[in-house]
Parts: sequence; C-alpha cells; structure tokens
Amino acid sequence: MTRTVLLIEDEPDIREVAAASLGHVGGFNVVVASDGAEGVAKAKTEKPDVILLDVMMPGIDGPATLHVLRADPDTADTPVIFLTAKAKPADRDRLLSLGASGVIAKPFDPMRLAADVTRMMAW
Amino acid sequence: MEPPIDPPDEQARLAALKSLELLDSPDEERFDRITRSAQRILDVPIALVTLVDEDRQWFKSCQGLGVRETPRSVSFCGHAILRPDLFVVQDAAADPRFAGNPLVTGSPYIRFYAGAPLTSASGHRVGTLCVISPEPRIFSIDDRAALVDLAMWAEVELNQVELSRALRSRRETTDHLQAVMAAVPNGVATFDHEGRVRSFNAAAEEMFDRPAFTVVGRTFQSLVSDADRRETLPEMLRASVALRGDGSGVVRRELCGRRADGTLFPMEVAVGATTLDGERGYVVAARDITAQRELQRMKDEFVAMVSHELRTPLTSIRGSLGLAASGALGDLPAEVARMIDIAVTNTDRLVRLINDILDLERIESGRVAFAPRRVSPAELVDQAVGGLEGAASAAGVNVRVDAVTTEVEVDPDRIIQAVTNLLSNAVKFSPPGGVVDVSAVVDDGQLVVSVVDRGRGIPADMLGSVFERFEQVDTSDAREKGGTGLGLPIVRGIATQHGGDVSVRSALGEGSTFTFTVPAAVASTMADAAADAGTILMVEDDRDVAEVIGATLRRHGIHVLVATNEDQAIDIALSTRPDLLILDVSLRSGDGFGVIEQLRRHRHMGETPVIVYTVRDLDEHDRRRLQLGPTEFVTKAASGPDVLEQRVLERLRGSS
Repeated sequence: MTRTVLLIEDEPDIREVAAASLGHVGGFNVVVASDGAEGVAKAKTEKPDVILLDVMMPGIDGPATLHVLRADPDTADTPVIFLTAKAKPADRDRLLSLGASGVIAKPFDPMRLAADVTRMMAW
Repeated sequence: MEPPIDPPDEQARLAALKSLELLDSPDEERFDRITRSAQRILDVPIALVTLVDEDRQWFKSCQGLGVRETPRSVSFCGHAILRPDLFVVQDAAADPRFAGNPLVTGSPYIRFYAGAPLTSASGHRVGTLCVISPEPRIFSIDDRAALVDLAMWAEVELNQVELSRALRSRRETTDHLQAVMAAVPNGVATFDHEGRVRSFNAAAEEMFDRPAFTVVGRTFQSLVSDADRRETLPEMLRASVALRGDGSGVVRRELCGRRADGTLFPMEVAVGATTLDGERGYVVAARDITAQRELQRMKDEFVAMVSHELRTPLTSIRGSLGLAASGALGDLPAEVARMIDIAVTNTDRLVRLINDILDLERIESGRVAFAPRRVSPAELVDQAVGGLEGAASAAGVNVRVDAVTTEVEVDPDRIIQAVTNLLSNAVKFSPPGGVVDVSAVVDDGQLVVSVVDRGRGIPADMLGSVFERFEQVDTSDAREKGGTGLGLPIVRGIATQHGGDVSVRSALGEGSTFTFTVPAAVASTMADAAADAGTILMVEDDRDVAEVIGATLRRHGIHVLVATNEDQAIDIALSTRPDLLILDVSLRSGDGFGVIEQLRRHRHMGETPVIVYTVRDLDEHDRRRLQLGPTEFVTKAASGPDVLEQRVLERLRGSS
C-alpha cells in the first residue's frame, strides 16, 4: 500500500530534494505545499497519511500551522513530523510536546529520510 | 625636697601630649586670656598653663613669669598631674615636700601654689592650669570653684586641637570621596533610611538626564520603572542577607531606570548598605546596559540567523548529493560517484562543524538557558554510552561503565553532551579491541566523571592547549577521525558554565584520562537565574492577574515586567526588548491591538514571540492582527495559569 506524504516546506530546493528522497528512496506518494496555508488546504483535500512540516517558514510558522491543523476536525488526527534546522534537545522536546509524532533535523540524510518517517510512524 | 614621680600611664601620657602638638608652640591668645582671667579672678601675680613633658615643664601660657620652662624634678605641676583633683600648697616653705625646692628658696620664691590638672581627650593628665604667689595664702571654697571652672575652660581649648584635626581629616575624606564620585563613570547615588536620595553624582545625572538638585529627596522608586518599584532597597538587602547569611556584600539587580522624561532604560545596579547620619543608608551604583543588551541581542540574532541560513543551503546540498551518490536516481560512472562521495563526506563535516561552532558560541557566551534537574549520574552516562554504541562497536572498542546512582542536580542534556564528546574521543583514539572506562562518582559535593582510554596518548607539550579551539594533536585527525576540533572546548564550556572544570592526564603511548568535575548541586540565586531565564513583558491591566502570573513566572528566575496600558507597554517593549510578550487583548484602553500595531513598525521587534492570553476566543482576522514573531493564543477560561506558565517556559527555552 503506497502511503501519501504531504511535505510543507517553503524552500524550493529542499522541497525538491526531500520530495525526490521520499519518492525515489522511500516509495511514498508525495504531495508538496510551499506554505502553511497551502499545506492546510492540501491536507484537507489529499488526506495524507503523514505530514512533514517545516518549522521556520515566513508567515504562519510550523507550530502555528500545526495548531490550525489540530483545530480542524478534518485534519486533527493526521500525524505530523517536524523538519527543523534547530538541533538542540530543548527544541526537539518543545516541538514534540506540541503534539508532533517526531522531529527530523536539517540537514537530513536523504537516504534515511524515508526510513526515519517510516520508523516514527511505526509502519 | 620631693621630686614628683611618674604617673603609671607616663608613656601613653607623653604620647598624648605630643599628639596635641602644643609643646614649644607660639603664644596663643585663646590660652593667654585664660591665664589673665585666672590672675584677675584669683588675685594672684602668676598664672600658667603648664604642659608636663618628660624632663621639663613647659608653659604654653605664662603670666607674671620671665621663664618659659623649668626642670620637671623641681616642678609643682609634676605633682599636680598625679591626681584628678586640685593640688594646693598654701605655704610651700612650711611643706616638707617643697621647703628645699630651689623655686621656693630662690626665684620666683613660691609660697602659694594651686594647680588643676588638664586632661586630654584621650584621658591623660598632660599639664595644669596653675596659679602661684610669693605669699602664703588660704585658698577658699570659692577660689577652688573658680580655679576648677577656669581649668575646664583651659581643657576645652587644649582639646580643640584634636577636634580641628578630626575636622580637617574628615574634610579631606569628604573631598576625596567627592572627587571619586565625580570621576567614576558609573552613576552613584546614596539614599537615606526612607529610600530618599541623599546624593547623586555627575554620571547619574547624565544617565537619568536629571540634575542632582531635582533628584535629592525623591524616592528610589521614582527612579525606576513601575514594574521595578515592588522591591525596595531594604528588601533587596534582606534578600541578600538571606542568601549569604550576613549583612556584608553587595546585591546586584537588573532594573529599568526611568529618566526625567519618563523613558526607560535597562541598567545593572549594585546596592550596598552604609551609615548616613547614624542611621541605615544605601549606596547604589548603576550602569546603563542598553549598549550591552543591544550587543547581546545582535549577537543572538546573528547566531540564530547563521544557524538557519547556513543549514538551509546545506540541506539542499547534502540532500541532492546524497541522492545522487546513492544511485537511486540512476547509475553513475565510477569516478563521478567517487567525487560525489567526497562531496558528501565533506558536507557532513561542514554540518558537524557548524553545529559545534554554534554550540560553543552559545555555551561560552552564557546564553544557553541552564535547566538543572535532579538526575542520577548512571542514567546520564548510560545515555551517552548508548548514543555511541554504533561507533564503539564499529571501532571494535569495548566501553566499561561504573557509575553511581546518587542523585545530583545538573543540566542533563549538557552533561550528556560533555560525556559524549569525551567518550567519542576515547573511542576514536582507542585501538581495535581496546577498552574505554567511564566512571561517575559523587565526591565531596562534586560530580566527577572520568573517561580513560588506552590509545596513543597526548604529548606533554600539547597537554596545555588540548582544550583550545581547533587544536588537534595531529592534523590528519580531522580528516581521518572526522573531528571538528571543538569537542573538548565544548566540554570545557559546559564544565565552566556549571561552575566546574575539566582536566586531562596523559602521556605518549600511555593513553589519556579526562576528568570532568561539576558541583553536584546548583546553588542558584535569584539574580543568577534571572540572567539566564529571560525577560518577559506582560501587558495586563488587571493587577490581580498580573500579580499571580508574575509570581508564577518569577519563581523560574524570569524577569517579569508589567505594563498596565498600551503606552507603557510600547515604551517598555522598545527600551528593554523583552524575550517574550504576554498580551491581554481586552485591555481597557485600546484592546492591545494597538500595541502590536505599534511594535510592528520597529524592525527589531518583529521577531518577538507573543503569547496572547485572553478571555474570548479570537477569530482569524483578529489573530492575524496580533502576529508579531511566533505568536500563540491561550484563552483564560480554557486554561489556567499553569498552561500559560508551560507555554512561556517552552517559548523562552526555544528561543534562546
């Protein structure tokens, strides 16, 4: 069964690399969005199995986007994994405590990205 | 004839006499008028103010005698100073003590003598006021009374010397102090026991933009922001006493000073106790730290920006190279694949380097928020070892652990990071099949962690610099072992931040032992914690709410400023640049939206996180109007102060 990953990331290059990694290496079906608002909209229409959510984005940031997703019954239960350039344990804990299922640090190993997602989702 | 004996305090007495600086001094009217009065009142031809020196008696004031001094051995005054009361000889010729005295048998032919001892301020009888006559005489009660009164007068004049010397000394001290106060770059002010300004130096005038004469008499409270008015000077020192157990020492605080025009500025003050006019007073030295804060903020912004800006392109580089190298996108010619491998390896190295540099910078500048917790050393070591399991087994190195479970109070993440770095080195430099020993004990209030390896060791001439940045014993290490050269400086930074230290014992060919020591319990003071935990501006017009929330947050060492209206909020926010804003949207004046609107106009406020704490749930439109930096919304009804507390702590830790 092919799972669908919604990738919400504002940086076009990172979006492309991550999408290539998730698609080619992980075999996922990848949907992309370039900001929080688009992400929320696509989450509702595409109903992904997991959302990979960048933390620092201009406009509405990662945690705020998560807040919106959780407030909407359509997307309240979709698991979310954060992508972040901040690598400190304190940041990780904080993000996890917001209700994320996992935190992946940037720069990520493109060969391991899909495996990490799979592991965090216990698929 | 009987010469006078020395009084028992003779040495001290002579010293006191010398310190009066009257011996052999010129005539002075203030003494002469006394001896003249004595002549008149007692109707005697000779009246003297005598000072009894070691071997002589010398006359400071002399009426009716042609000489200025006579030997002590034949003096009458030498006898007079042996007793506190009057010494009277009504007829010297008939007195066996004096009958053979040359001053009796010859000039000035003394028959009658009456002398009153003069006592110095130090309590020594240094001389007399005496009257002499060549005719014997009965000395009446009234005469005695008169002589006693005159002697008191003489004593006052005598001790004037000490008084004027003391006054001169005090004037010198005051001048000296004033010169220091005028020169010192810090603002210095003194306050009386009511907390009112007594003095205000030039630097303080400039800092507060208030001339001293407008400040004297005003309260300490009037010079600081509303939020800082709660703690009075006595309270600050009481807090200090509680911490140190005595009244000594100086209390430091970071407060907001208030200038004449009402604007605020951040300052660091040191408060000490003193005595003013016999009562408790206070000395406060203040330093305007606006520039320092600005610099720190710029540095933090820079670090955060670098962190993000460098990692962003690296993500793309690492990602794209990794995918290409993996062959997942198609096969590559061998040489191309090899080149890409090199690129990937070095990208990884760059990432590690960035992480380490930023870590080190944060640790050394003390901007890392310290979060001590009670934890067992065994747990910490296990986590560190666990993280390196892969690397250790790949290198064929066995790690042995011996750690106690006695709880200590340290920042677990930091300690794990330090131990990990030490372990990583040990594993890297151990031969395959080698053993690394890690031990953690609590000894004499210190947590001591040792990491022992049997690798190639460190040459003696490098031992001193092994904790410096980018020092690698062998430059090929960087390439081969993948080290960044910052692992040990980071360990040292963590140790120092905890108030501890790290050291190494090693010899070439004999392996190394690294010992990391930190206090097992953190003795935190309000002031120390405040520097680390952050500053919050709470915009809340309900005093009770502000009180409760403020108290809750201050417990964590957070410095909480409160603004009760929009203008105040903007004022304080712009001048103190808080780490976080808590905004009550239902403020009676202006609803709080105005605050955000105004702050948005200032670029440097754009990143400030905001927690909007409000009664009513806000719709999307309103929420957008309240966005500044990362903005969260918490409703009062749904969540009590605990949730707010949690969010605040998370935000503060996250943005450090």
